[in-house]
Amino acid sequence: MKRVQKNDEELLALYVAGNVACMDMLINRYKSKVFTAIYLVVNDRYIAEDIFQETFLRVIHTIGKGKYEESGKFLPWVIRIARNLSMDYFRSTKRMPTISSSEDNDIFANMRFDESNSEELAINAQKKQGLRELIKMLPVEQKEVLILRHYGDLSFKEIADVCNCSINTALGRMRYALINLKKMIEERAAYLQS
Amino acid sequence: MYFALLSQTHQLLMQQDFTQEDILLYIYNELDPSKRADLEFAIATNPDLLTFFQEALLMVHQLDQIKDEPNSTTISILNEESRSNSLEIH
Repeated sequence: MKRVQKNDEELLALYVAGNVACMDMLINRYKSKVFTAIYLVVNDRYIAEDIFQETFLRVIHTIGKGKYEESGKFLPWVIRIARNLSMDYFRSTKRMPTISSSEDNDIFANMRFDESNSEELAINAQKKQGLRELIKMLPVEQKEVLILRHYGDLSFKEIADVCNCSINTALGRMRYALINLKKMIEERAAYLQS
Repeated sequence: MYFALLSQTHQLLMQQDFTQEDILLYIYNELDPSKRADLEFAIATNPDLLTFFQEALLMVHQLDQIKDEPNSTTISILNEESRSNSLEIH
């Protein structure tokens, strides 16, 4: 007989009812998505570990207090907590990610491949980390939408609410993020071939 | 002849209705289900939409390859905390 995987809400209900293993399962289910999203934002593995831990501590305590009210939206809720904590981190260090406000920003207009940067890119390209490095180079608004949509499973409507912009703006940022990533991959490939 | 022309006109009208943003909604399963068939038709018949669709799908697939994991100590701390918290609930 085929076993059906329990959904998030069922696991949460079982956890509240006393089955502690269900929270372990939820953490295990989403640890990679949540950690990847945080790591892509803060660019520091140790900081990402701290924020990841704090995120799930808040999740556990909020559920323990019976204040979880996001039925059917567990992962987007967790991602929103992680995003807020990441923003708190940047605020506390008075260091914000590079801002680029232009919606139709062509990042190649601002990207300069000086000698050391080119070498750095070439080394990175040889690793599987290549795409991750390219994501980090995206303008912050595009990177945020890409992370929230792809890793956080937030809908474009939810992203619009979180980012205080319109759905069309969120969609446009996602579109430019993908276009820019593709361009950067092509640039990188051309550089490696030259 | 008339029907062929009508069909071409219909295709052009449908293609003009869809944008690259619609394709993103489609890829992420957010497009209104009533529009899915029309968009699929537009992708199949409009080279520009098809190109964007294929490129976006490829990028999305590549994004899926990026996976980081927190270390096991962090997970152990959380598992311990969830047990303590569960005891407090009950």
